[in-house]
Amino acid sequence: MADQLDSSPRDATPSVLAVVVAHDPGDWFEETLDSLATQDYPNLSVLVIDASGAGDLDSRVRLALPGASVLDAGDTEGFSAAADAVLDTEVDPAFLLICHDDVALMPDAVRHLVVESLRSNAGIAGPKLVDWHRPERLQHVAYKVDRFAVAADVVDAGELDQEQYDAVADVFAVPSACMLIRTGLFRTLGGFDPGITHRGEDIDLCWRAQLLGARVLIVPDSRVRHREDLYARTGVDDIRRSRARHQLRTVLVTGGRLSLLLTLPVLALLNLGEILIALLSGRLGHVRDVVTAWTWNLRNLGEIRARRRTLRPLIKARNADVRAFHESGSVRINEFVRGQIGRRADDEQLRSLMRTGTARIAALSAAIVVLFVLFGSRTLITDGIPAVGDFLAFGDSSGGMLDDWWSSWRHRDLGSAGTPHSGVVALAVLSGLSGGAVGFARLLWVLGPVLVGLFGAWRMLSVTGSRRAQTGTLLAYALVPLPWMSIESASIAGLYGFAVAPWVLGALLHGEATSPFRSTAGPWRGVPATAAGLGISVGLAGLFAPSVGLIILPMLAGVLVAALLTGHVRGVLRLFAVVVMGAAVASVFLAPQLLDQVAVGFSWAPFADGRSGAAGPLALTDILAFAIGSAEPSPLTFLMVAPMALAVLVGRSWRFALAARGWMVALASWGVVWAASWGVLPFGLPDPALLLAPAAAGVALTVGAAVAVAEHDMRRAGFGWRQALLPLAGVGAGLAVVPTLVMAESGRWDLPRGDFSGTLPFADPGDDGSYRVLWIAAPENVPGGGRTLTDTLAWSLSLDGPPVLTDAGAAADDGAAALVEESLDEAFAGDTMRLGRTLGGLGIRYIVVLDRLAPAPFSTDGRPIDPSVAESFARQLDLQRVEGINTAMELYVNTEWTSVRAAASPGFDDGRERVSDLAGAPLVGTVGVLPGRDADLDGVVPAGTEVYLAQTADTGWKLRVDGERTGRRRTLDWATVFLPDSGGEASLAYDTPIWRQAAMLLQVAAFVVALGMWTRQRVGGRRVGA
Amino acid sequence: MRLARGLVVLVIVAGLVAAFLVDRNDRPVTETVPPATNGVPTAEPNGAWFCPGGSAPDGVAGVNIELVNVGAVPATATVAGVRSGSGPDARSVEEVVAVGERRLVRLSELVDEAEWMGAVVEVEQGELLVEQVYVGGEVSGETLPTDRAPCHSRTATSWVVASGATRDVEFGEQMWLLVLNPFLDDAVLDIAFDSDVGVQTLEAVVVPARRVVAIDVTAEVTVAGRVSAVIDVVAGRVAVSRVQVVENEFRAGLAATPATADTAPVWFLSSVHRGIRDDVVIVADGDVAFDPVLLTIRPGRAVQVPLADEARLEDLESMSIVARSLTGLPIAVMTESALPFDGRVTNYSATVGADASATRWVAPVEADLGGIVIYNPSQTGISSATVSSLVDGVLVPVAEVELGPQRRAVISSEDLEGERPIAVVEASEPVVVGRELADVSVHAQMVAVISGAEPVPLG
Repeated sequence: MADQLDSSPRDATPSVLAVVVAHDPGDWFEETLDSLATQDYPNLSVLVIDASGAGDLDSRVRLALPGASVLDAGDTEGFSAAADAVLDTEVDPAFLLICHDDVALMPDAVRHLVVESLRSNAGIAGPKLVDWHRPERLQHVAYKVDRFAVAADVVDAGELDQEQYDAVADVFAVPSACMLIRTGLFRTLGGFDPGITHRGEDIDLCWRAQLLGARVLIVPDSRVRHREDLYARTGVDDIRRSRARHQLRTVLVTGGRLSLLLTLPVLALLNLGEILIALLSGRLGHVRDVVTAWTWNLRNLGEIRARRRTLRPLIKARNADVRAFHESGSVRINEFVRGQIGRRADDEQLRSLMRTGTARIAALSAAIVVLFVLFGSRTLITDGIPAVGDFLAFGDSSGGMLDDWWSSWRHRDLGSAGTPHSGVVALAVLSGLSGGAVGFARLLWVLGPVLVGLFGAWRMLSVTGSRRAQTGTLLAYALVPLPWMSIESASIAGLYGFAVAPWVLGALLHGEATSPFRSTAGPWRGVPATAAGLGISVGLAGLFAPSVGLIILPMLAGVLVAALLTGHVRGVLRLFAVVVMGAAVASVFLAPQLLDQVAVGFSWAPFADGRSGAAGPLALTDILAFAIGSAEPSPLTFLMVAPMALAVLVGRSWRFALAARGWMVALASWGVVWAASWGVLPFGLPDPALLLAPAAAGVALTVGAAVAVAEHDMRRAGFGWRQALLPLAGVGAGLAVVPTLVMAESGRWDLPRGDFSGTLPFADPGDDGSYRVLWIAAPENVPGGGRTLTDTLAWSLSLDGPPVLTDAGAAADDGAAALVEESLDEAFAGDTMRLGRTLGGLGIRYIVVLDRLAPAPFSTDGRPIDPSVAESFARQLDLQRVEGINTAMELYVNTEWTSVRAAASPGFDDGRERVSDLAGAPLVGTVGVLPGRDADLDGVVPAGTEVYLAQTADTGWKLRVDGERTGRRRTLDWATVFLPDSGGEASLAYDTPIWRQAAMLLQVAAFVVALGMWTRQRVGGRRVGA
Repeated sequence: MRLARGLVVLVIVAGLVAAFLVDRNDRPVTETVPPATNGVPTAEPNGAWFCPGGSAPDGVAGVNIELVNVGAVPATATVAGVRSGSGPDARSVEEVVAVGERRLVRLSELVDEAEWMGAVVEVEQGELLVEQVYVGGEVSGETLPTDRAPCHSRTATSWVVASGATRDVEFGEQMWLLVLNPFLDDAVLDIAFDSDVGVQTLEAVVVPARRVVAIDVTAEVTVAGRVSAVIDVVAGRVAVSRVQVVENEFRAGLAATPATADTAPVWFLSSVHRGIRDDVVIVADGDVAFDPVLLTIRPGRAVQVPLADEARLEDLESMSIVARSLTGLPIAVMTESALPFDGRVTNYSATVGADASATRWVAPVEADLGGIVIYNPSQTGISSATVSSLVDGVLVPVAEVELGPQRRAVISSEDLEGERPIAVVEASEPVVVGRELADVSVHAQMVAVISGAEPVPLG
C-alpha cells in the first residue's frame, strides 16, 4: 500500500501529507474527507489509516478522494500505533497533518497551519477546534499542562468563539485531533508513544517535541470542526482510567531523574487526596483508576525505561525552558477550584455535581471537610492508633484473628461460647491484604466511620435538591465535637454511632415520607428499599459495635413526636413498617450475635458496656455540647443553637418540618443521656458517645434545614426580624465550630499517644502457662468494655495479656463471670484477705486497676478510683503490688494463681466444692500446660496428672492425649477437669456448634452481598448500548 | 403552621429550661462506702489476725499466741510465724481449736534464731479470737511480770502510739515499736516522734515483706519521759504495737500495747489510773461524775495528764475515762498505770481505749483476776446487758445489768464460770467492754473483742 503513495515534490510549496486515522467512522467521515478534498493548499495529499482493519474504508475514501491512499493498520492497537504506521511508509513530505476521523477542516485550515509553521519555525502547529454541530462554540484552543502531565483546556466549556483567542501563540500542547507536525520531527520522536493508545498521546508528543527544542504553536486562523465523541462510539467509559495511566507514563518518560524525585512524591500525595475525596463521595471506580495508574506503569516499567533511554540523547532544550511552559501548581486542583472539571466529561456524576455554582461551593466544602479530617488526624495517620479503650490491639496475626472469630469461643472474662464482633473479619482481611501491616486497617477502622458518617450527612438532604442545605448539614455534622471526642475517649461505639446516625435518620425520614421525602410513585413505594437501607446500615455498623442499633429508638421517638407536633401523622405507620423491616434485615447481619442472645435468654450486658445505670459525671452542659471527653464544654459550642433556632422559627413548609424533626431527635437523644446521667434508669446504657450520635445527626439536619430556610424562605418577604436572624445564625454557627477547629490542633484529637503495651510487665504465657488479667476501671476506661462491678466501676478479664480485638464487648453468655464479681464484692466488703486464692483458682494472675485511658505521660485526666477499692486489694495477703509501674494504674500480682490450663495431681481439688472454698484451701501444686489463646491447643501433659481447665465449663472443649479422648468431670461448680489415662502429646480443642458457624457464614454472606451490591452500583465503567 | 410552630418551640424551650432547672441540683452520686474501721479488734469468721509480737523467749518480752475459740464449732486456723531480720523462713502451723478452748501456740517453735517475732493467724473455719501473751524477761536482774494484748484484726497505713518513755539509765524505761508487715511487698514508714525533749523524725524505715521490724525508740529518742509516735506508712500496710519496759523503784513491768490504727474523736478507757492526753471526762461508779479536764493539743503533739495529781479522784477504787475531742478532730489515747503491791508501786500497765461500741463482746479473762467493765456510751438510751460465761460452747448467764446513759458496770471475774473464763456480753444497745487482769504476776488492761456484731463508732 505504501508504494501507492506519491512522494515526489509537486512544486515549491512544502508538501503536506494528511494522515487520517480512521476507526470504523460513521456517516460523518465523508464530510471529513470532503473537507480535505476542498482544501486550498496546493500540495496536500491524503493517507487514510484504517485502524480497524475492516477493509471497508477503501471505497468510501476513493469515492471522496480518488487520489488518497488507504493504509491498513488493523494489526495495531490504539490511535498512537495506528498513526505511527505512517513512519513505516517511504513517504517523506515536509509536514504531516495528523487528523482524527471526526474532524472537518475549513478550506484554508491547512494553509494557515503551514504558513504559520514556516513563519514561526514551529515543530507542531494546531488549529482552533470548534464544535462539530455548533461551530460558533469553541472546543479546544490548545492545552495547558502541568508537570504531572495533567492537561486542561484553555477555553471554557461551551465558550463562544468571539475571536478572543485568535492570536498565534506558543502553547505546551495541541490536540491530536488535528495537528501539523514536521515529518522530520515526527520521525525523530518515533511518532506517538504506542503505549499511550489514546488520550494523552498528544500531550506526550508535544512534551517530547519541546524537549527536542521544537516550538508548539496554536494557529487560530486555522479552524477545524471536531465531533469528539469517542465515548459514544466505543461505549466504554475508560477516560479517567486511561488518562491517569498515560499522564503518569508521560511524566515517567519525559522527566529527568532529579525532577522525578520531586514530582513523583507530590503526585502520589495528590493522588492520595484524590482517592480520599473519591472515597468520601463513594466513587470506588475513581479510586481504582488512580491506584491502577501506578500499578499499570509499574508493570510497564521496562518499556518506560527504554523510551527514556531513547529520548535522553535527543534532548536539546533545557528543562527549565520546558518547565516555563508548564502550568504552575496542579492543573487538576486549579480546575477543581475553578469548577472546570465537569467539562472534561470524565465523570458524569462529578460533572453533574459541578453544574452549578452552589455545587462548586458544596464540593469545595466537602474538600475542606476532608482536609480538616486529614489535618486533625495527621499524627494518627503517621504514628498509628494506640491500643487504648475500645481501640484494642489486633492480635498477633490476621489468621489468628480469623481463627479466634471462627472458633466462637470468647476468651474474655471466664470464657463462654459466643461470636466476637464480626467486624473482626473485615479488619483481619484488610490487615492480611496489607501484608500484616495493621496500621492502615486500624486507621480505617477508626477514621472510616467518621468519613462514612460525613457522607451520610451529605446524603441526608440530597432529596431536597439544595446543595447549600447539603453543605450546611455536612459542615455541621463535621464540626460537632462528637466524633472527635469519641476518638479522644477511644469509643468505637461512639464512632460507629456517628457513622450510622445520619443514614438511620435519613431512612426514617424517607420512611415517614413527608415532604420533601415523599415519592412521586406513592408513599409506600420506597418502603422496602428504605427499610433495606436502614437494616444494612445498622447491620454493617453493628458488625463493629453491636449496640449501635439502639440509636434507632431516640431517633424514632424524636421523629414521632415531631410528627405529632406538626400534625403530619400519616407517615407513622410507614415509619414503623420501615423500622420493623429494617430490624429484620439488620438481624441477618447480626445473626450470630442474635442467636447468642436467644441462647442465653437475652442479656443486657453487651449493651450496657459495664455501666450500671447509676448517676454519672456528665452535666447537662456537657451533654448539650457533646463534651464527653476530658475537655470542659466550650460556651461557643452552644451558639449552634442560633441556626437551629432560625430553622424552627422562620422555616416554612418542609423546611420547618425538617427542623422540627431535627430538634426533636436531638432533644430525645440528649434526654436519654441526661436521664442516664441522673441515674433514673433502672439499667445501664451504652457509651454516651453512641447515644449522642442521634443528637449530632439532629443538629446537622436542623442546620441543613436552616440553610434551606435561608435559601427559600428569606426571599419571600421584605426585611424584618426574620432577615435579622440570618446574620445572627451565621455568626453563631461560625463561632460554634471554633472549639472543634481548635481540637484539630493536636493532630490526633487528643487521643493518647501511647498505650499500656510497653508499660505492663506481663509474663510470657509460654513460661508458666496461660493466665488471666483482671482489669478494673471506670466503664469508659476498661479496655474493650467491661461488666458492671459497682456503680462506678466495671471489670473485664483478658487472656495472656491485654485484650485484643476479638475480646471486644461483653459476651451475651456471661459464663461463670459472676464468680469474679462475688470474689471482688467479698474483698470490697472487707470479708477476705485471701482474694488472691479465689481469683487464682479462676486463673487470674494479674490485677490492673486503671484510673485513666492510657498511662502517664500520655494521659493525665481520668476518673480516680475510689480509694477503698485500692485499699481492698492492699489488704490482701496474697496479692503483691508492683511498685513504680505508672501513676495511671496499680498492678497486683496474684501469688496464688493457677494457670488457666494446669496439670495437677489427681485429687488436687478434693474438699473444695466451690470457688469460695479456695480462700481456705487454695489449689496448689499445679503446673501450666497447653499455653495460648487458640481454640486448638497442642502440648504435652505429664503422666499421672489431671488437667484443670479454669474456664466456664463447656462440653465443646475436648482433650485428646496421644489421640485418645479423655474423660472429664466438673470441679468447683464451674470449671472442668480432664482425666487422661496417661501423659503424652495432648490436644485441647473447642468444637464449634455447626449452627453457630452457619449463622456466621450467613452474616459474612450478607456482608459480602451488601458490599457487592454497593460496589456494583458505584464502581466500574458503564457500558451503553451501541 | 402557626400552631405547630408554637408547639414545637414550646416543647424545645420547656424541655431545655426544665432540664437546666433540674440539673442545677446535685446528682445522686453513689459513693462506695468503705468497710467501717475502728480501733477495736473484731473477731470474724474467716478473718485474719496480725500479731506484731514481741521478742524471742530470752528477750525482754517473750511472746506466744493464744487462740481462743469463741464460736460454736471447732475452729481451724493457720498460724504463720513472722521473723525479724534474715534467717531461716518462719514456719506455719495449722491449729484446730475446740469450742471454748484457749490454745497457746509457742512462736519460738515457728521462728528460729530471730530476735523479734510475730505472727499472722488466718482463720479458715470457725470464730477465733487471737491474743498475744507476753512473758517478761529479766531486766536489771529482776524478772518482769507478764502481759497480754489482743492482736490486730486488720492492718493500716497510719498508726499512733500515744505514749512511752525512754529514760533507760535513770528509770529503766525502754521502748520499742514492733512493726509487722504481713504482705508480700516491702513497706516503708515515716515516723514522727514527739517527746518532752523535742520532735524527731525517722524517715524511710523499710519493713521487708513478711517480716517484723523492732524500732528501738530508746536509741532514737533518748532520755524522754514521754514519747509519742505517729507512724505514716508511705508504702504498703502494717500492724504496729508498742513494747514498754519499766524497772525502777517506783514501778516495774512490761506493757505490750497495740498501737492505734485510726484516730477517732471519742475514746473510752475502761479502767485507768494515769497517763492520758486531751480533754477528759471521767466516769465513775454510781452517779458520780467529775468535771472534765480541758486540754489543747497541737497537731501531732501529745499531752500527758497525771491523774495521780487529781486530788478529787483519790477516793475512787476504779474508774473509767471518756476522752472526747471537742472540735471533732481525731485523737488517740493511751493510759498508763501502776498498781501498788506489797507496799511498792509495781505492775506497770498500759492500754489504748475503744473507739467503737457493739452489742456483743467477748472477753477472755483469768479466774479471780480483775474483771470486765461495761459502759453504755449513749447520751440517752438505756442498754440491758447479759453477761455470760462461754463454757464448752454453751453460754451460761452470770449477770444481768441495766446501764443508763453514760453509765458503767463492773463484773468481777470471780462471778464468771470456768477455770479460765471467757466472758460474753450481749447488750440490747451498743456498749463498750473493757477488761483488766491484775495480781502480783500480771497486770493487763485491754479492750475486749467485738464478736458477732457490727462496731458502732463512739460519739
